[in-house]
Amino acid sequence: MPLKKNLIEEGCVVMVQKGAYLKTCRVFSGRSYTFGKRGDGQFTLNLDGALGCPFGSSFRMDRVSNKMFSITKIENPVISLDIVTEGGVDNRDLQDDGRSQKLTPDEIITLKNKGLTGKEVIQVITENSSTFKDKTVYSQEKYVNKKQKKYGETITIHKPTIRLLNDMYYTQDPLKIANLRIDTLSQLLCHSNVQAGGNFAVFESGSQGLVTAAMLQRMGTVGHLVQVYHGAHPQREAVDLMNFSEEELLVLSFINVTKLPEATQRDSLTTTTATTNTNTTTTTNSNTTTTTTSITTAEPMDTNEEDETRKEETPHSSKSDEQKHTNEDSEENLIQKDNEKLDCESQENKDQHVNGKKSEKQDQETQKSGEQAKKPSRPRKFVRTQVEDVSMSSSVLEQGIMGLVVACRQYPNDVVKELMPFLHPGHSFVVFSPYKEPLMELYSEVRTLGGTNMRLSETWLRHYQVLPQRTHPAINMSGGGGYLLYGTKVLK
Amino acid sequence: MSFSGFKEVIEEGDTVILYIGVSQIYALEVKPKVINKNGQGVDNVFQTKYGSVKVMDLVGKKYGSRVNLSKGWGQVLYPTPELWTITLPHRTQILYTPDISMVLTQLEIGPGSIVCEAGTGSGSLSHAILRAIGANGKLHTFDFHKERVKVASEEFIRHGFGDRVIVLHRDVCDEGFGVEGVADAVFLDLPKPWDALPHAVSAIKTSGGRICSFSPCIEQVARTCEVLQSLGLQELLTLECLAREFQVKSISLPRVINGQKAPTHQNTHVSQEEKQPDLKKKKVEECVEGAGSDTNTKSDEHEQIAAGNKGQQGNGDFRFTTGITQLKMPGHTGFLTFASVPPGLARNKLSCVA
Repeated sequence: MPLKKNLIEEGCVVMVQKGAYLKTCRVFSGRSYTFGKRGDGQFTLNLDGALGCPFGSSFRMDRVSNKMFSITKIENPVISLDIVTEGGVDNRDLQDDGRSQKLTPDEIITLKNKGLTGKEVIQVITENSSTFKDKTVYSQEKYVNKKQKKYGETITIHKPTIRLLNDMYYTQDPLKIANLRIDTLSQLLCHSNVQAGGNFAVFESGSQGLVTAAMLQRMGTVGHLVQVYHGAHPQREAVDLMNFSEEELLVLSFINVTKLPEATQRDSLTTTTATTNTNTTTTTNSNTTTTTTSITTAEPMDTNEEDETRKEETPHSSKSDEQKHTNEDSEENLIQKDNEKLDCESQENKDQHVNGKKSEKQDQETQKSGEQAKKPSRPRKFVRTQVEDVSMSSSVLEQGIMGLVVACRQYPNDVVKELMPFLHPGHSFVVFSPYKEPLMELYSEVRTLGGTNMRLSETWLRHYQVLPQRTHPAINMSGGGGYLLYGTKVLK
Repeated sequence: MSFSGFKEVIEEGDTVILYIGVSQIYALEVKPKVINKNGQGVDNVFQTKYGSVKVMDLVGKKYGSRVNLSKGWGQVLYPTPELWTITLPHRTQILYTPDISMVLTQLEIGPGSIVCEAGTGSGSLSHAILRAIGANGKLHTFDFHKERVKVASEEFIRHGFGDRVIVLHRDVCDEGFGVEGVADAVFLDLPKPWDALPHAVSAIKTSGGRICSFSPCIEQVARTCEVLQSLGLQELLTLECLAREFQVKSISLPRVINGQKAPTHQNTHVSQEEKQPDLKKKKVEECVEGAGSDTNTKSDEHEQIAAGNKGQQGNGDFRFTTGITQLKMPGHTGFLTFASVPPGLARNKLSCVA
């Protein structure tokens, strides 16, 4: 891709991979980031060594103190498999009595702390295992691989991509993204016909903005993508992790589902202005809450980059999820939420729109001064104000869209009915749901809205272990990755 | 021209999709004349089960509108690579959308990407790649079959992709891709992908990229993975993905109730209406059979079946809407193997592996 940065730079989001573990963080020099599960597996990295290196590079972790590591780029990742030597024939003489390892766990930890490399530690462990030599070569290989996962000290730093983000969310907890598995997401993207050029709309919730991010990635810098959202704020976690340029972000605009223009194209602009005006009167009190939240996040060590981003830049979202779910439907809260959203806008104005526009492009130095002193450059999140977003989205929707995607936690059918009128006849829609039942219902309902060529499907995904003489399907697999209903709208 | 842009009204030169039913979907090229079997130019009239349509009559109609056939009607849809995949003229085995979509995501293809593909085949995957790379991307696609290259090339031009694609007649296993260090992604669908892998790695940018190989047989996969590993590629992943389609149907099942005693497990569902003890058990089978065998029937037809069932339904039947799985579905297409070329991978050793 032209102009796509291939080097790890200050302020960009990276994905740190260690074995199967993946996590995102925004790199700033001098900071350290904690990874891994609490307890033994936890480690803290200073990522300064990665700055200026190409994405996809591997690094060796060098111990600085107990759990603190710095990293150094390595050309060829160490593979400890040469520890595997001649092996036994089978496991007939192996006893599972838990006494084969002569070293105690404490002794192993001491070894680690003495500064031995991961490979050396594994070497010592295998030498002290009375059964290692009798294991078959295959079994030895498996054993070493397992130990390497534990004691290995190599990490790879990737550029955030939809594939890796989906992978990360899926390993953390599939429910974090409504069990939207990569094959389902991929199918959704294809069937929506999303591409550079053209207008598209997406309604997304409960999947970290991953669908929006994925559609945006497929659109580049041409065309318009409208995210219609419900509740206080747009769904954009994944969008913010993708290092999109400002040009790419300009493709995306947001609109609250309550502010949708009339499908018949009349009055839309006047209604939106009216709503915004009423809200402005009540913004003051919630403004205080937002300031508090942003203060709490100004800690130097942000272990959870994701949370940090959310709190710092979209203050309203810090209290997002619980509130959204518990209060979803009550009317007073809707009003309150609208106010919060407006806050977000004003906050943005302060934080980004005002000093963002110039500083972003040229002098990052200037930006560091003043209020932003301790925070190095961070790209702007919102490229427009909320009012601009709404009018942009309205005009795109009024022109009509060439593809509609609905992927939400809520009952999708009402949303589809709301948005179908904006879809140009002859073009495609896709609805994702973790459940089959609403989609079966929608199947018959959409027909009355002009749906044709409809399919309800799910995909099976199976991974394979491919090794000489040991190829077989993976031991564990996902039982389901959600359902899709897709079709084409026609003139009735 | 219609694939690569957006428009509301059908024009001459467009490829449009004529939808009559789930199993009757056709791609039509909107042009006045076609060549018949005898090599003569004749008027472009398309024959369907429901009568014929003069293709030039579509000009000026809006996409999504209804088209009258002499004995029925159909709808014209905007062409998409997915619809093309199910309507294209097969010159080879083709890749279908579940695999295609996986390839696009895993290869991280997006606007501006430079992609190499071998072989071109019938162009099913190529269309999806061409959509994804946008106007600034480039697809280099190769096939060792001369005629296929020619036909595919003409097709891409007709579909408006002419300036984003380079189609070449070339055996990449022997001759390589002819490009070095330019590609973000390489896709291989070859009988012996391992022979092309070193060339594929050289085609990838020095800053790294992704490679995919599609093979139907596990032995091919095993050999491919060994070579990928020896070339120093990372993040090896082999997977298989299949789509299961459901047919949405209303089903009613007769109950078997002995006298006044309802079977316990269905107790909760018993409606207050009188049960009909004599209901034919056969109906269960009928419903399922009707549904299963017609995975391809038109929508109107299922409605008729449903209506037909309703006529015979007893009041005491247990009714529900369900998604019925296909009685027969594709069980295997191929294994997809993906790998990453890390940045700065030493490529001088490639030749010795090959």
